[in-house]
Amino acid sequence: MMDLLPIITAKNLKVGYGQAVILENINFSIYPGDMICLMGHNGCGKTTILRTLSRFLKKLDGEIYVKDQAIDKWSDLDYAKILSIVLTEKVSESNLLVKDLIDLGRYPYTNFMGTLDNDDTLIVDKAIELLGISSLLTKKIDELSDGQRQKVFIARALAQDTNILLLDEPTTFLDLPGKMEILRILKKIAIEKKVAVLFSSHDWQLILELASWIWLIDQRGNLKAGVPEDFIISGDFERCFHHPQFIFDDEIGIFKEKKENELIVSLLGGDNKKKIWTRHLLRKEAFKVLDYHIPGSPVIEIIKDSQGTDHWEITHHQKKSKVNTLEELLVILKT
Amino acid sequence: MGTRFKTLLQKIIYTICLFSLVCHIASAEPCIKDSNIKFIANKYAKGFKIYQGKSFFLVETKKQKILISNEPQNICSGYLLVKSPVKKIAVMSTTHLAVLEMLNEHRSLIGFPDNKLITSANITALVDQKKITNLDYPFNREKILLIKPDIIMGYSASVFDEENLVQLEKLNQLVILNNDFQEESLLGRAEWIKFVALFYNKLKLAQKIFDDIEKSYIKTKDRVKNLKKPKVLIGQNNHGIWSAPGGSSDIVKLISDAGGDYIWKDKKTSRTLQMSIEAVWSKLMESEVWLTQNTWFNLKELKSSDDKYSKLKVFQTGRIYNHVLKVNKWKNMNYWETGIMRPDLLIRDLVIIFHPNVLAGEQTTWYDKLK
Amino acid sequence: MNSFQTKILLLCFAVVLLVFLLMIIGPVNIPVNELFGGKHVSQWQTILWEIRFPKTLTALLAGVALGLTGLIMQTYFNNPLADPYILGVQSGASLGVAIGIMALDSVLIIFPNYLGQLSTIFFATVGSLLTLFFLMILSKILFNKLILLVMGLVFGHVITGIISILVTISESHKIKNFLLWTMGSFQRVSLDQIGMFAFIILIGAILLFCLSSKLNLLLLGDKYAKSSGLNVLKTRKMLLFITAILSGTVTSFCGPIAFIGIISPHLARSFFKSSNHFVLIPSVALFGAIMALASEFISGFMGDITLPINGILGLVGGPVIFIILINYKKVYHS
Repeated sequence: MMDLLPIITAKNLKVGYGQAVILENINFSIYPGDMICLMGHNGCGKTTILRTLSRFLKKLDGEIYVKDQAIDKWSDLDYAKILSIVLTEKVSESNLLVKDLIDLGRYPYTNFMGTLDNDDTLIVDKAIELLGISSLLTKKIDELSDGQRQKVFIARALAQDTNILLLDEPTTFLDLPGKMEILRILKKIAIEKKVAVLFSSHDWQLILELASWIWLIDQRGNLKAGVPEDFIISGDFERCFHHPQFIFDDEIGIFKEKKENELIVSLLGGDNKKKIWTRHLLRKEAFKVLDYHIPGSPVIEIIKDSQGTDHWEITHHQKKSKVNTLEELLVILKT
Repeated sequence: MGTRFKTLLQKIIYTICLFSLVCHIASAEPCIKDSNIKFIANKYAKGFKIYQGKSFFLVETKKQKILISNEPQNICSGYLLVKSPVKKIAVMSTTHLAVLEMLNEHRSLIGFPDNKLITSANITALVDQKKITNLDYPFNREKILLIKPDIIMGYSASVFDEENLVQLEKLNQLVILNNDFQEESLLGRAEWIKFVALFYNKLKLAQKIFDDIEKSYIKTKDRVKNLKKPKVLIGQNNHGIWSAPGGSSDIVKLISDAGGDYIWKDKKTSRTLQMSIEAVWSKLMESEVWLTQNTWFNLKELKSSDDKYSKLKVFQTGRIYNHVLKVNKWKNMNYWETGIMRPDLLIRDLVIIFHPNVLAGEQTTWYDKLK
Repeated sequence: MNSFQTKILLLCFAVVLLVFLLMIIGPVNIPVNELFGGKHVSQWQTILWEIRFPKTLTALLAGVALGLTGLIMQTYFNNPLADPYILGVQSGASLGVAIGIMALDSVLIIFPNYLGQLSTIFFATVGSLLTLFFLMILSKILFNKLILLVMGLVFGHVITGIISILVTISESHKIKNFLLWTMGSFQRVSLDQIGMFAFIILIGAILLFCLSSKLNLLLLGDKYAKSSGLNVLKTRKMLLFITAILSGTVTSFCGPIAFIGIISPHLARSFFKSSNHFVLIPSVALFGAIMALASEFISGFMGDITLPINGILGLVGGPVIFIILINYKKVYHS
């Protein structure tokens, strides 16, 4: 890692719009192969940083060096060979063919007629392969699902063959499998193509699971880089997304609604899997779960019966009930 | 640097203007090598000048120089050569038709923009015999090439008209510009019969016809010279604006000669007046005779156009007139064809209207009281 | 031979057919032997080459120019209702002609012996050049799509106001002349002028075709375009300039021809099911030419009267296009 030179370095960067400063004292370096998720609450400045790096916005102060040259010294065409983008906004012209769209990614390299030579075609094909969208090539953009559209635009950006790929909230409108797939693809791009991937996201649960490196913009507007787990331990994560009505459960890593009068319940027996998910449900429903028995509070026991299936037994105030699903369990507990 | 350039530019423009002015003056004299050229002056018309040579006539208008002869001639550049007498002609204005008929040359007519506008009985007969091609306006160029007129007599009141004439010229047609409407008086306009006559070698006939017209006109004018003039109104209300001819228009001169007093004769312009109806209402009330000069055939049409008219004094007396006599089957009025070119008859019509006692018993030719 | 090529050939065939019909059929019947090689200095040859040929070529070129400028404006403003006149250039030309016909009493005295040196073409050209000049200055000061649109609209209304004042103070003959001009006609261009007309339009068309990949990028939006390396500002200025020149030229030579600019891009998109400008530019050019040639053909149908071009495009063209687009309804998701 040491002999790799950073693609982008920022020193004392101040970003914002005209008179309004959004973030200042930003320092970072981005290396080839990095996959960085930019996180922070709404309005904290994620998009502002991305816009400044994409050159849609002028930096207010400080320095940004891209490949050892100041960011504003690059021509549009040369910069296009260094940095490519994927946006969340829907493209209004939806009648374009997917293949034509991806070919447009080669614009910085082709002549005015836009003809792709052999090298261009090779790069485009590789991008299509990596994204796995060869079946979509003859479709129009508006015939695609959200996930497919996202992949197509990433392919276009990939075909642009740049050192950096910036994505603005690429996972926001997708369903869970879709989100996971995009993140998997981004990771692949970063590792295989040695492209620096910088993207912003709100899906912190997923990021927690999959990302090894994040930039967190905290409440005070400081940009900190690190592994997500460090931020949980240090409490930065909770402070960043602090909300008066939620508290962060730092053992599991979820936010849950603050509720008064937590009820205590004991959970015994069962195998790991059933126990973990029973506990998950109970905690979500604002019960405090203990591993031992306290007199006066209900006891839930997971029991394996003669046929080998599990069921739950609740004992409370000498009354015993037997249920086969967690849903039924919940119904009884609530009464 | 800027001022030097500006001065240079001014010098260039000045030189060009001077040069064209010189050319214009220089070209005022005809360039024919014939010492017997005689200038024949007009009495009223200012739009053309006739010169007579031994074997040709030369006529100059504001825009053209035309040499008319029945023998071949050497001409300088810039002249149009027309072989007389013309056998086939296409014209663009109804007034041109009237002139042809007066010269008895209406049979040379082979094309006209809209045959429905033709009101003369003789020419309508030619239309029925399918001798006159309907050419539309702008002239249908293919049809022109088919009927092959010797000359096309057109007029030009705007850039649009000029363009159409140029297009015809590009097809090698002889286009003669007859802008008789630009004359200040109706006598001047009527004198254009001499212009048209040149193309048929009938100048003497035209001169006689015009002299008769002029004599009759002056005679009628003299009869009403000292009579009290009724106040004469022209025009109509268009959405709150009264349009009427300006005080210098040819129709106003005619009214004045016929012993009438046009209520706006003091507004010395030949452009149409556009006046707010409120401002002129009192003048309207003073009018004694109203010449509507439009398409109204009866009082019903007048009232349905605007019911305010019934409040006018002239409506009560009923002295409202329009040139509705002599229409063809398409309700087009002969006034616009023959009327305009016969000021001697027009002045009689107006005298009958203004001073009924003077020409008692006579009938009007075109004007009639609206009923 | 793929579907694109077949469709293009079909369109070319339609154009050739219309050209052929316009050359053969007209108010005057030309004997058949004259049509294909006759004596050369006869009136038939004149009719064919000095009347029918210029009008056919004018219609074809005007249709091409109008279609292309309509397409460019729809891409530029990302608005399917944009037309070539959205910039207000046609208004400038109309004002020039209105002044020429209605405000000037007699044509200038400088050239006394030349009949009609100053034509409506001259006045319309001056009008559109001044508008173009004004537009270029405006785009330097504020380069914002919305403002440009609004300015074009405002300009159009101001001009309409001035023209209506001119109409009020003019005599009916001149008003009728102006009205005739606004009806549009492909017959005003003569053989000696057609060269320049063709030159301007062909250059413009070729330039636009060369800008196809840039136009495609603009479809994605200014952000994607800029990050792909396109100089968005320069490209947009160039597109405005070319559009103004082309639409100004057509208006100067033919009057304001409506409808073709706004509709041919939609016809092309439906027919070829594509938004790619490499496909659209040739196809819009062909559709525009077909519409113009067809309307010229219909205008001569009545024999005695020549129907006005704008009238035909509105009355006949409207319902026809409506039917076509309904059949291709699957293409659009607005």
